[in-house]
Amino acid sequence: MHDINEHGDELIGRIVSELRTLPPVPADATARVLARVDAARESERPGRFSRRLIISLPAAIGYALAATLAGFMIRGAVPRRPEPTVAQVPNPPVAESLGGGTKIVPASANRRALQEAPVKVQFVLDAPRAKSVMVVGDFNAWDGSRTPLERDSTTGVWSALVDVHPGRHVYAFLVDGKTWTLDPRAPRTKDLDYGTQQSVLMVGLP
Amino acid sequence: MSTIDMSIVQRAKRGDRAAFAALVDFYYARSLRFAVHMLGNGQDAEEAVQDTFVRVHGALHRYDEFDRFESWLFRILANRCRTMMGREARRSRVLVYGDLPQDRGTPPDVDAIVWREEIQTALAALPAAQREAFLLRHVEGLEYEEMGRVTGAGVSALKMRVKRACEFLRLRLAEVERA
Repeated sequence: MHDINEHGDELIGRIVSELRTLPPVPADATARVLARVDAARESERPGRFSRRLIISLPAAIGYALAATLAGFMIRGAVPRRPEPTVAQVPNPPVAESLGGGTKIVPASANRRALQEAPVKVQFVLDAPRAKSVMVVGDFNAWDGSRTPLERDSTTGVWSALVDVHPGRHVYAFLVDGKTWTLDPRAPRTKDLDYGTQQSVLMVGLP
Repeated sequence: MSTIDMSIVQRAKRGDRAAFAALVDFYYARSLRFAVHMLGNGQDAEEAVQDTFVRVHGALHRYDEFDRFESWLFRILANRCRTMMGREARRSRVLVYGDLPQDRGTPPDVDAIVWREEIQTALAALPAAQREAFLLRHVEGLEYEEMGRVTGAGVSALKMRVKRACEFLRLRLAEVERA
C-alpha cells in the first residue's frame, strides 16, 4: 500500500482509514451473481431450441417444459429486492386455493379470519442523531411508549416490526419523546380533529 | 492490499464455476465499498456490483492476463457506477427488510456516526471524477498507471484530481472538527 500522506496529513489519513472499512456483504451475494449468470446463459440459447424443434417435435416439447421449469427455478433463486418503503410485509402468508381462483391467504384461514389477521409491517426512520424513536398511530392507540424503534448502531437507522391489521392507518414518529416527525416516504394527511399532519399507511389484504 | 491468486482467475476464465464463485467472494466487499462511496446509496451500489460481476463473467474470455485483474475489474465497476450516476439519483437510505445488522446490543458511538456521515457528505460533494480518483488511489490503493487503465485518464490529470480531492476534503472536514 502506498503512502496515504502523499497529499495529506493526519486528517486525510483518518478519512482514508474510515473509508477503507469494508461493508458487510449479503450472505447470498455470490449466489445471486451465479443465478444471474445462469439466467443470462439460458437466455442466449434460442438457436438450439429452434434446431431441436425442427428435428423432433416431442423432443422440443420436452425441451420447452424443461426450459420453463428452469426459468421458474432461476426466477425463484434470484431475490427480488423491494423498492424501499416504510411499510413492508416480510412474511407473506401462505398461498392456497380459494374457490374459483388462487388468492393469497393465511393457511387454514377463512375470509373473516383473513380480514382480522394482523400483518407484520416494518417501520423505518433514518435519524442517526436521535436518542429515541417511537412510532405512534391508530394501530397502537397513539401510545408514545408502546412501540419503540431499535437503532442500528452502524447506520443510525431506526426500525421496528409492528403487527398491523389490514386497512388504512395513520401514524407518525415521535423522536426524542417530543418531536412529531412524519415519514418522509409516505403520503400525508391532515387529522380532521386536531389539524396535525400524519403519515398514511395502507395495509392490503393478502 | 491482498490480490487474488491468478490461478483462480485462469480457472474462472476456462469456465470453472467454483473458481468464478471464489473470485466473486474475494472481490465483492471491496467492489461494494467502492460502489457505495461512489454512489452514496447501498441499493444502487449492490446493483452496480451485481451487474459488474455478471459482466466480468461474460467478458472473462477477453481478459488479457498482462493486465492486472484488479484494474480490469475496477474498470468495469467504475463504468457501471458512472452509468448509474447518470440515472435519476435515488438517495433513499432506508434499509430494506433483511439488511438489518444483527448486533443490536452494541451501544451507538454517536461521534463515530456523525464523523462517518460528515465524510460521506463531503465525499458526495466532490465532483465524480475527483471522487473516483481519490477512492481508487487512497482507498483501493491502485497505482496511477493502473488508475489510468481504469478511468482512461492520463496520469497527470489523475494526480491533479486526487490532489484537489484531498484539498477539498481537508477543508470541509477540518471545519467539522473545529465545530
